[in-house]
Amino acid sequence: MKNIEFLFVGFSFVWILLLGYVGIQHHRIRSLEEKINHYLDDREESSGGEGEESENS
Amino acid sequence: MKWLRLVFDFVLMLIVGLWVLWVFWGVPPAQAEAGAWAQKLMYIHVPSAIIGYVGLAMVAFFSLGVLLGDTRRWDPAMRGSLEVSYVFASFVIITGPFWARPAWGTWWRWEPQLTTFFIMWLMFGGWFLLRNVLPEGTLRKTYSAIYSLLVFFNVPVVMASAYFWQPQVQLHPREDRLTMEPIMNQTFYVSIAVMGLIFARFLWLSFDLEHLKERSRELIYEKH
Repeated sequence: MKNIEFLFVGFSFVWILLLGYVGIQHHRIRSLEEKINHYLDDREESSGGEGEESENS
Repeated sequence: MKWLRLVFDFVLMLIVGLWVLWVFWGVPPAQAEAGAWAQKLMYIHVPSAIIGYVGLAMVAFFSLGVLLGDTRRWDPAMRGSLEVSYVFASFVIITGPFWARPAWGTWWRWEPQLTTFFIMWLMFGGWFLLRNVLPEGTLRKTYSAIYSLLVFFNVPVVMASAYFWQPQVQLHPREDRLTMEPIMNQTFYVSIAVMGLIFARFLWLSFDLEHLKERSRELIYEKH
């Protein structure tokens, strides 16, 4: 391998790790946000439903 | 807050792009004994190591916070900064052999600085193992804080390894005997700044994630 090829390969590996890490972090953040929002929506709905029920009774 | 992130990301991408162009075509390659073109990996390799050490110092600071202060407050910061520092230590491990092969004629040798850094990197990885093995609770946070401090104690050993052992067994040059052209020196300092910015962005992402994890944990506790 030529010296410049070592440079390209080394840089590419770092680039892959860098982008991969950012991608994974974004995915983790988005899925957690979705889970939390989903849970909060469910909780709101169920508490709203209970409130209506108690009003009807 | 979202627009601030977008602006930061845009500026960071611009800076990183310009920096890569400069490293490839602006700064001249070194002499053949230093690896010629491959020597340019130094602009990732050494700054990543420096930023990794700074990151580990932060981890040690947050670990002390876990041990001496409010565990719930400092534990997410410790986790987040440790993960990001590990990514930077991995940059060092990855780029090293690609520079070593053309410069030293070998991918790897068990010389003092390589060996001590590798041990530190392995110990670093062990942290995640420990964290996953221990059951959730205060004890897990305490043990991982103590272990983080142990990992941090490797930093002075790695830094001093080029001085401790005899020159015959060394491949890494001593910092006090290094001379570089002014343009290389300047590029090196700019590279530290660029790596620092990437580290800051990663830390930001990591802290966001840890904050969300804490929020989800709180919700679980509220439920039960």
